[in-house]
Amino acid sequence: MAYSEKLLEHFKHPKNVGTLDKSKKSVGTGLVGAPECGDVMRLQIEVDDATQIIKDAKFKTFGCGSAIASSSLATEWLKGKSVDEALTIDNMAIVEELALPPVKIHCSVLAEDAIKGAIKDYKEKNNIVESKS
Amino acid sequence: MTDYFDFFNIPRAFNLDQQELRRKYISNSKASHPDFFTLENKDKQDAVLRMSTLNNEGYNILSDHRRLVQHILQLEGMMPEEGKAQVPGDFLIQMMDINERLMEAQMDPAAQGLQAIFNDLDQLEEELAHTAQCAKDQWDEDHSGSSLETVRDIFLKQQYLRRLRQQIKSGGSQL
Repeated sequence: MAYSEKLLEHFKHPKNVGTLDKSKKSVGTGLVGAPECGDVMRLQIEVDDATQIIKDAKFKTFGCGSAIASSSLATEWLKGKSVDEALTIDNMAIVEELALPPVKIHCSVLAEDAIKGAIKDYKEKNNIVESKS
Repeated sequence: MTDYFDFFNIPRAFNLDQQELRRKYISNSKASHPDFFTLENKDKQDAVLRMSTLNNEGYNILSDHRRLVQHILQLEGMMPEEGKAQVPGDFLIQMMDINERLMEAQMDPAAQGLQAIFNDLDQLEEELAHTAQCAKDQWDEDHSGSSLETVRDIFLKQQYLRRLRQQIKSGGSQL
């Protein structure tokens, strides 16, 4: 199967691999898995309290190359965004950017779920009420 | 989708009689061997080929326990849509932890800690397999929804362990 250059780059040189201190109030952690393939993905954000801007993002993914690339790209996109902007990141944007083949679309869904999980965790820690739209 | 229990005329059960399956597979193989039909018309030959394909595919599925379980779950409408499947959060944390330990151990040339991971995996697999077997026996007997749910939940967990096993075998990351 042919993979895009961008995908291979994120896979070979993933950005922002690592761990943030999850005991910190400013850090939100999302942990998700895909039983179809047994992949697990942890994505963390650190938010600046005053500005609500995501100042750092890290991930650790155990899974296929597409899952690693999807989460690597997600952390790149998260940095510098506000928490509310981050919520608008859609898995299809990841699919397009990395040119994921159809069988790997679930990897991008995983990344989106991980972002949403991290934000939810951050909001719960800081008693920010989810604004339902 | 094809119901291979129907195809082999074997009761739908997790504890399938593998000898009976094998007998039927071999007898079908003989009956549908394309070489015996070279003088028949095209329709007949196509039908024989379809039969032979189903026979092989069905045997591959039902003789592999993991695929047999998956097949029953699919036939019973118990497999969640892709991306909708969930395992409990504490299990995911456990999987993350064991994956991290495995990666560290694999990067360490002295391979310290690998044995401990293997032991943990063995134990976890054994526990899951035991619980699954009880639920499978139960379902074969009474076809209860609750036992099938247990089988499904464990099947999903086992997928994570399967990936870990593959990771151990390959010794590193795969695209």
